[in-house]
Amino acid sequence: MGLRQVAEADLAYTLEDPVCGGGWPITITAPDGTVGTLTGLSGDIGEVIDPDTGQAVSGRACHASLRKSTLLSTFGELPKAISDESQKPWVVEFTDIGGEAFLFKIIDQRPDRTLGIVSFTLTFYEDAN
Amino acid sequence: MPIDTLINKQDGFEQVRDRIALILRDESVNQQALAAAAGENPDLWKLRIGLERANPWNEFKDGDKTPIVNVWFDTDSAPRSRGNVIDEQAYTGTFNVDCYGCGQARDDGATGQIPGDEDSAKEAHRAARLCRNILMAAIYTQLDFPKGSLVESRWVTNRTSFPRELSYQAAQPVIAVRLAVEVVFRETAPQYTPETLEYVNVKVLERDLDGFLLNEVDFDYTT
Repeated sequence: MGLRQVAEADLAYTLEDPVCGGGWPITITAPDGTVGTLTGLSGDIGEVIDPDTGQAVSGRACHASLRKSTLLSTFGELPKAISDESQKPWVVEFTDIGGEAFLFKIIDQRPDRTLGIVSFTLTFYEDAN
Repeated sequence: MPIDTLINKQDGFEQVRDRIALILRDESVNQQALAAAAGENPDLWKLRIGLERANPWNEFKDGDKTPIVNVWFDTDSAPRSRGNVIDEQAYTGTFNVDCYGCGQARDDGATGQIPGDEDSAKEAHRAARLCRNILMAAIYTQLDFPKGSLVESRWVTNRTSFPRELSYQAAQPVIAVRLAVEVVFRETAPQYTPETLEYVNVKVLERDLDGFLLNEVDFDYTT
């Protein structure tokens, strides 16, 4: 097994292990309603952002990173940003370290096809309920 | 010889800056009352007004998505043709009214979605609409200062939307629209303290009416 394949296999520990690794439960709902409860890395941090210059000011940056192979086996495709307003988005939900749950939609996806990780940029989302 | 009067009043640009913010705040409250009386949702006329804030959109993090308006003084100039070197100059100042809208991506209740970035732009545009209409209303031509006192006129010269950085995608989409408000106003400065001259009495008498006093003027002076 080559080194890259070893690295991809190690994602089971570094990305998807909630006990010994940094894995965190993440629920993803596809536009067709398919729900997948996965484990990956999630982040929700305050950040300094200036809407005028794009430089840091103040806001929240939220993201999730998951194993590409797991996403494909769960959904048959990679989640992505859906700009078309006539379609539902890919919805992501996870809790912060205090257990408070937040709902997001994917607004950007960045697959790393070298190591098999897909990172998602998230924005807050309200469902119809 | 130094200035012998204490400089303890606001300059014109400070008064104008504060007045713009006050007008927007009071009229937002007024519009909400009018909306409620008309059976409309008053929240659509609600604005949060800030003055000279460095980070006004920070308040969106508390969950309240009411548009935020930040009023701040940008620059002014005084052409020499409008004023004199002694006591009064006419300034033309630019006061920025930045209108921030925070969007919320959400389910549309049907088969699609409402994007958060589009929502934030529409919120900012709505706030800018309210602010422009308020400031350009006829009753605020002199920004509610008495005519001939401080403000000569006001004019919204520009309306600019801040471009959204493609590299930046926050969890809460925020976009802003800037109204550049140009105001012409007066500035004065401490003047000489006048000295009293020698007393002079002048009587103007009507010759043909046997000394009928037409006018008498007294001037106080000291040497």
